[in-house]
Amino acid sequence: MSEMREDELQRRLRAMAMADAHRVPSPEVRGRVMQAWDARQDPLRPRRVSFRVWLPVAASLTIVVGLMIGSIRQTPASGGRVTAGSAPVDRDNVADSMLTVPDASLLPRFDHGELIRVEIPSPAGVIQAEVLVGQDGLARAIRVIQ
Amino acid sequence: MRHIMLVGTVIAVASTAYAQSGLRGESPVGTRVAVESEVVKGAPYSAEVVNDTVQILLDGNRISRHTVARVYRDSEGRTRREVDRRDGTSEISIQDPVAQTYWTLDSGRHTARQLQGAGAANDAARVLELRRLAEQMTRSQQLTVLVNGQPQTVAIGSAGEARNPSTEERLAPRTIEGLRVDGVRRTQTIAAGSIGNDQPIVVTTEEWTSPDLKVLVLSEHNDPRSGTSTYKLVRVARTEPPASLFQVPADYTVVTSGRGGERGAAGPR
Repeated sequence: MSEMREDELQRRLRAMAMADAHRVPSPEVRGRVMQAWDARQDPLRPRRVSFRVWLPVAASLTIVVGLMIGSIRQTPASGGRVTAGSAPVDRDNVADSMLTVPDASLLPRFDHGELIRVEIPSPAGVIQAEVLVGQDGLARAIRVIQ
Repeated sequence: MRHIMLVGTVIAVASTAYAQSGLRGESPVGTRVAVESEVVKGAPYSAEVVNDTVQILLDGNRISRHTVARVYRDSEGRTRREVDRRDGTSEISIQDPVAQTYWTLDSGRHTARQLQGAGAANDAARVLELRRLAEQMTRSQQLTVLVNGQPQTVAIGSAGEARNPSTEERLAPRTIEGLRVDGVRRTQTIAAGSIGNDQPIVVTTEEWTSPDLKVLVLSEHNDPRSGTSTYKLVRVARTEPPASLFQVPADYTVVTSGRGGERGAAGPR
């Protein structure tokens, strides 16, 4: 693995961890993260792990917990239909996750950009989606909302 | 490999949370939320952002686009981005990670809108960027490593393992706009026949990043299928921007959207 990529990845993980450091996870969220982490550990792998590995791990856990807290905070209290703006949006129908557009990994790294909500006409009706566009105007990912 | 597994695990778990992020459900169509890949403190700057895209069509026609925007970042990591519209007005986004507020200003209407889902959008972009890095790691068949301080290209995996092998090359540092920048060039070759192509298709991306400012200074992406896109920062000034740039002007009306559409709220902030 290239030294540059490791450095870059670790730098970003640290930056993300620092940015999310103010978030304190609930015991439930922390438990879910630790459970998921344990489930993915290689049983044949030695338990002794170097500081070089633990640093990004700690940072990563902070990020994950932060993201979970963020998502929980954003879930409407009703947990169901939210009506406002131009059209009602049922959160239950939101697609599982954003899909990376083909060959997005070949594009320049994402420095900044915009998340844009759009409508796409289709034979089945109008589809609402969110498109993540990078600093160069090229789409990185899309997520179908409705 | 150990690190790839690590990243994979992080992304897999994070994606669970990410699935619920994004703009708030009540956001109307057309809503645009500025997204930053990370919060950078202690490295203020301002610059113009120039984007150029060129696409050559089969009939010889040529489509080219040129846009200019402005960016400001203060020592606390607040950012302001201004994009000019054709009518002479600007759309301005202000991200304040300290106050956890995200604004979109319309210089034409003198309105300000606070975005509720912007924090989640930033989280989403971070997860996606990690996913992209991980994908690059697993896709690359040749990597550049430093051996005794000198870049050396090494191959990983077995020959012919990848249908569309990619290479990555670290470029010698250079100076752009007074900034020392590190460069990397990635090349992927889509083999003949992979997608019905008679000849191999070569896609190249070159990135130049400032380690001091932690920003992308220049990138060039060339894909014969879609054309060439160039992104660059110009007129870079490494000074602290005025604090007023990161505040909603007093003469702007704060607009909120909810049932019944847009409505005004208290003015000055």
